[in-house]
Amino acid sequence: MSTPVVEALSPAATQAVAAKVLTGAWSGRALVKLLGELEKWDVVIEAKKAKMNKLWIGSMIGAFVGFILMFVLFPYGIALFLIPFVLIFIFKKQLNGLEAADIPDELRKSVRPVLKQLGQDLHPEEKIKGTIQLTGIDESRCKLKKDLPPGHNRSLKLSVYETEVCDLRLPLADGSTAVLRLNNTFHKLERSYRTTRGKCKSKTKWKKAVTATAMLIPPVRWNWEPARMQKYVDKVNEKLSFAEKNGVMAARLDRYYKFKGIGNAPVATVPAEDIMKLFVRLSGMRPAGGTR
Amino acid sequence: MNCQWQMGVLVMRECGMPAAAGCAICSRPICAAHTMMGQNGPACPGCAAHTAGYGENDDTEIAGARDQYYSQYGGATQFGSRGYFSRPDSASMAQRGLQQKPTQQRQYDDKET
Repeated sequence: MSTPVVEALSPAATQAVAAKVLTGAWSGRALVKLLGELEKWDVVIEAKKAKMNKLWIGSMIGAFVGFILMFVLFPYGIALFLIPFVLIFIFKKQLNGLEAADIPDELRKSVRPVLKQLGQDLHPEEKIKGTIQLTGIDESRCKLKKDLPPGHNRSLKLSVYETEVCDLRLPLADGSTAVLRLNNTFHKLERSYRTTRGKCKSKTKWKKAVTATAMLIPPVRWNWEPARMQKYVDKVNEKLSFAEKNGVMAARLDRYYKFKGIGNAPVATVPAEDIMKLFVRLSGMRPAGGTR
Repeated sequence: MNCQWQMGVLVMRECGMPAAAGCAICSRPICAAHTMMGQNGPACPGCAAHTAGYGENDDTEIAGARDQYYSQYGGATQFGSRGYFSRPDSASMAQRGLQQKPTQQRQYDDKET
């Protein structure tokens, strides 16, 4: 599949687009800037995708009309069918290339705004470490594929894709470390059946389950005060836990989301405000006084 | 006197640079970098974020977002008394009426399993 030419991107962004992953250590500003570049790249790709999609649909309509005209204007009318017919494949190939180059929306809607808002909290000298995946749903990430028991005249196929969108460790100015993780699990349910008239039909349903994890690892042992924020923890969709990390007790808040889509995988993602609220609540459990 | 504007969302700390003016709204001393000019005179980013007639920058954006987040979890009452906000911050939050607010309508289905 052809990948669009990378224009006006910095070497780091070019490398990230090519490798489809961002790994390493960055200062807060550098990472926000790099993600900003990738965001612009994503916007350009989205626009190109929309244009290519229109061309693809146009060529299909053209091929249909050409097919009818072919008989009316035979033999010269063959060209009217063949040209749009060939274009269908060319545009589809280019559309696939653009879809492969597309960057997940989590980067634009979740990760970058959070990093921007936490910009003043970051340690001025230490660096953010971690990984950000730039691929969406990929066959290599398919964890499960199975045929479900079929009913009358139909088949059910379930595919599960798992992606860890990001795992970032953010050193904060007071010596503690904030950890941000986003995990996506896509459930694709393909159902095909035969109607009473003998037509084969198929429907694809998608479910996207996202787990947003915020963790706060203190620099020294803290006596967390969870009682203060307990009432603000959603008992259905959130889970508060504490775990021993490197000799200190880390506080962790997970939030679970579910999004649905028919035909295409849902593009909705965790709002940045929700991630910030996870961190704010964890921060609100710090022991009062003497922590900064 | 030093600038008393508190930077950050999670780890709030005073700017500490020499003050160049006083906020016309909450009267805390502020440095040149944290002075926003508008129709009421110089203002700190927190007051500028909530007052019409002031521009926007990263500081006002963070200040506005911080107030919004904390106000949902008890605001000045919950955090101010625990040393999370400085006295001027707590006072200005209380002045702006940033007490606990109901959460916004969500776009996804919370109850779906």
